[in-house]
Amino acid sequence: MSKNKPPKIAHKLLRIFLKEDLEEEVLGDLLENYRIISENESQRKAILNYWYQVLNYLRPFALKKVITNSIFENKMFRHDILISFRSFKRYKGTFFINLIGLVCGICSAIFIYLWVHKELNVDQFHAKKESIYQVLQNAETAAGILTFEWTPAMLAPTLKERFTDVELATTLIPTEYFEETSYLINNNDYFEINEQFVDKDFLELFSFKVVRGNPNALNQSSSNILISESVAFRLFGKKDVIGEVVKLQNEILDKDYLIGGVFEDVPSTSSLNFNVLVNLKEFQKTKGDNFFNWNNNNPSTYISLNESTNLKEFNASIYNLVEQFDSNSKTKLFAQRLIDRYLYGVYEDGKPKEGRITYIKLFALIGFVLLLIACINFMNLSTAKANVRLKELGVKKTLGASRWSLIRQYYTEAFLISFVAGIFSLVIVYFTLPFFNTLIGGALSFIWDVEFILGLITIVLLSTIISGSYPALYLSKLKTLASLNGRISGSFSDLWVRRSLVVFQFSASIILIAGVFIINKQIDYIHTKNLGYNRDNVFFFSNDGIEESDQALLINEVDKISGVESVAAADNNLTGNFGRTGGVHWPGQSPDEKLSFVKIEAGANFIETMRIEMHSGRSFNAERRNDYTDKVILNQTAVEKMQLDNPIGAIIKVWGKDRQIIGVVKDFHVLSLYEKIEPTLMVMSKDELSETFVKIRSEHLVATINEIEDIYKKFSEGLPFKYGFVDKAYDAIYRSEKQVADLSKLFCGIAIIISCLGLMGLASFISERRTKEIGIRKVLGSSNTSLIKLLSSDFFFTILIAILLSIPISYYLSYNWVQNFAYAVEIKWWYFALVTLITFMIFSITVLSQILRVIRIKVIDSLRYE
Amino acid sequence: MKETQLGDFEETLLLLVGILEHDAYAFKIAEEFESQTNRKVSIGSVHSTLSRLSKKRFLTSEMTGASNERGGRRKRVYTITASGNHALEKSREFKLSLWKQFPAFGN
Repeated sequence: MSKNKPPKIAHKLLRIFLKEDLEEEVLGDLLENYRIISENESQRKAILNYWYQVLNYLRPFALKKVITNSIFENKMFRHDILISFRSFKRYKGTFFINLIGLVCGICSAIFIYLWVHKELNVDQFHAKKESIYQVLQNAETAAGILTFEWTPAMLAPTLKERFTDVELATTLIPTEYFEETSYLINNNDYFEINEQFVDKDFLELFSFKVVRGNPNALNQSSSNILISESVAFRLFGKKDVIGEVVKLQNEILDKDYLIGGVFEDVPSTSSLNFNVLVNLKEFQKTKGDNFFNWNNNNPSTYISLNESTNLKEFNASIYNLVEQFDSNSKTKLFAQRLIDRYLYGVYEDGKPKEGRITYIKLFALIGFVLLLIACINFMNLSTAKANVRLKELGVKKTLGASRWSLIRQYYTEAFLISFVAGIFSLVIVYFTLPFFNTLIGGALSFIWDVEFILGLITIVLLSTIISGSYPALYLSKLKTLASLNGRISGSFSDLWVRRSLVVFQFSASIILIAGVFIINKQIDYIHTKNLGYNRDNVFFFSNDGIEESDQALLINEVDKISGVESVAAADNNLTGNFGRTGGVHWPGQSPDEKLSFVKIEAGANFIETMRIEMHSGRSFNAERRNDYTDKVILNQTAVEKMQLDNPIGAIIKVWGKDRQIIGVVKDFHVLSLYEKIEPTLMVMSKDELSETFVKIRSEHLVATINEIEDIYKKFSEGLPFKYGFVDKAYDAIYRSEKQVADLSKLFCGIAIIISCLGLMGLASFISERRTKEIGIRKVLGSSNTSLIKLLSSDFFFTILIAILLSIPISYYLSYNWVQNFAYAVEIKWWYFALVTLITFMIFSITVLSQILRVIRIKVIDSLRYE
Repeated sequence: MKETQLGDFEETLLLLVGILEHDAYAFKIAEEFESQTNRKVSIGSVHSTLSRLSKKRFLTSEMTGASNERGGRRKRVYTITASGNHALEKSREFKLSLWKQFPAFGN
């Protein structure tokens, strides 16, 4: 008989909630029922039925006393709430300080939560996310190991063929490959697109959904393309566009395609961002057989690995793969999981090191600290207030209140205030989210999923626990008699706890202020640093759609406009790593020495237009024909690295052809300030160049741009005029720093507000409590100065400790941050002096204003106080 | 004053208690209900109704008859009280008078 027992868990559950005097009959009934079913039908059915019966005993008549007697409990709970509301009403100032502080803290926490949530979800939507990897290359250069994502086109097929661990492998040309804008054209209607060239494994590997048409369309014919739903809608006004013909125009293509399918818009959490898919063969056709050379790195390679694959072993086996096909190659391969790629996208010595995860951790920490600062306000104010509420406490204790009920009282108060603050914050965040999005240039949105709601509940509970614990545990511990007398024993340690809380709060604020200060200094430095060229009022437009033969004519006409100082074409807008070359040889070069150059091909007048200064020699002269073919200009770094003593006139080999150095320019920044200035080589070219640069006289900015646009339109066939300013393009490189700076400014402001609120509450409370004492002191002849000294010395002592603690910490943190930049602002001692002064002033004003308020009360009123 | 009106389910259970006589305890009543009506019912809901009927004093109960199938536990056996009988009679009379007034079945 003992074998056949009802399910244990259900049995236990029943015994937990069932009234004891019903236990015998009910357990008996259920057992009888269980045995009959398990004999007549099956054991499984019997178990299920047992559960069903147990759950059906969750009825009021059968529940244990604790729960049936909840009316009494409810009354206690109601009492707690009532007392809480009364105390809120009575101490309105404190209540609002707590509420505003918590609202600020919780708002920040929600914003940060939304942001972090989105960042962490990048690429998480792929069904195979765990097994998708990107193959990256490490190249040894003079400047150390450089990691890049461009790989040989043969890599994917080779990996799939040679390694059984590789299940799928896809080669793709991401949309970032093209510098120029691409268009889909339907009846002269141009639409800007991000096209991506993919091969047949692409849709199988990644979870992008084709919703209409044939998902296989791309593989069937290379004259098919797939477009996203929103592109379809924008071009045709409908989503069913299968079979329509559109023209695709980009750097390399200009031809008609058949729409073979429509896919769901790529989610904003995808690191691959595209809205048109084209067959990779179309790309390859324009590149010829060269595309498949192992030393030609164009596409990105993604693979999926067998679940049982050990990544370390796999990486070891592909390490030398490129070398087997191209013996000259110095690049090494490794695979990184796609979902890690976004978060750990910065490489050091060829290994993923940090990346966005740094910012995520930073802001998660800031969010927590802000919440903590707000909670500290609550702790401080309620323990300080305790003196006043001691009588209430004593009376309760005398009437037999247990410690637990007192603790519950304080938790209820903390919970109520956090809850109200949580609701306010939710409303505020909801309405300010668009503003916040423009600030950070992101697309955050509310997703009402379980995770978000749980996150919110966690935030509220966390602030309840943090802010309620100290007062609850501390106050409930007090002796009845002492609290009735209004005297607190052990007030010494209490004072120290409160003091260290305030110290912590201030230190956190000061560290934030100092951090923001340094971040902004660095960003200012980037903006004002002499780059070696002048980017003011230089604007550039893309030469898309201009025939090669027309370029000279265009430049000529633009030059004639009165508002134009000078004009030149080039293939580089001086803000990105666009062209490099290693094919340079010079006299005195040691055989194994290799130097990688930044290559700038530019038309006549480029050096003049960009105001790049000459160090020695002369600039290019458009009149001299052989300046185009036989001459070259280097920068100072190049001359140094090549160890040329007399560079001017020396002959070097560029791409196998002799060129004479006619001049040396002073160093200027081509790349971002993260990187050191590199050897740079400039040649004058008449070939098609991607960009035209125009230096404008500042007073005629708009008119001049309009005139240039008119000229451009004469030469291009209806293509939109795409232009930008060099200084703006330059700022774009530092967008993520700017985002961090803007965000940190915002949160720093919030931290200051919360801390000041708390300090204000504390100062006003403590001073008010001494109103009578102040009156007596005044009568006895105390001066205002000595009174201020008396009341404020404690605060100043606390602030001082906070400052002493936080300066070294903030120095250490900011020093580490600026180390990321090759050209970093120098951290000077007076930055910290200034920050200290500012915070000291803010806090002093807060404290003094409250103290003065109390001191100003007339003697007669302050004596009558209480 | 407790509610003395009988609900449909209550009335059925009262009748079942009367039918089962000395074997009227929650599990048996639920089993009988299922076999007579072909409707599923949980022991819990039967039990809850029985205890409500006891509160209205239509039923009394007593703990008896431990058995091996029940793991040595006793069962609560219900019996109808006089007022329970009265309530059943009243309910039947009321319904009969309604039937009589129904012209389609009138005789």
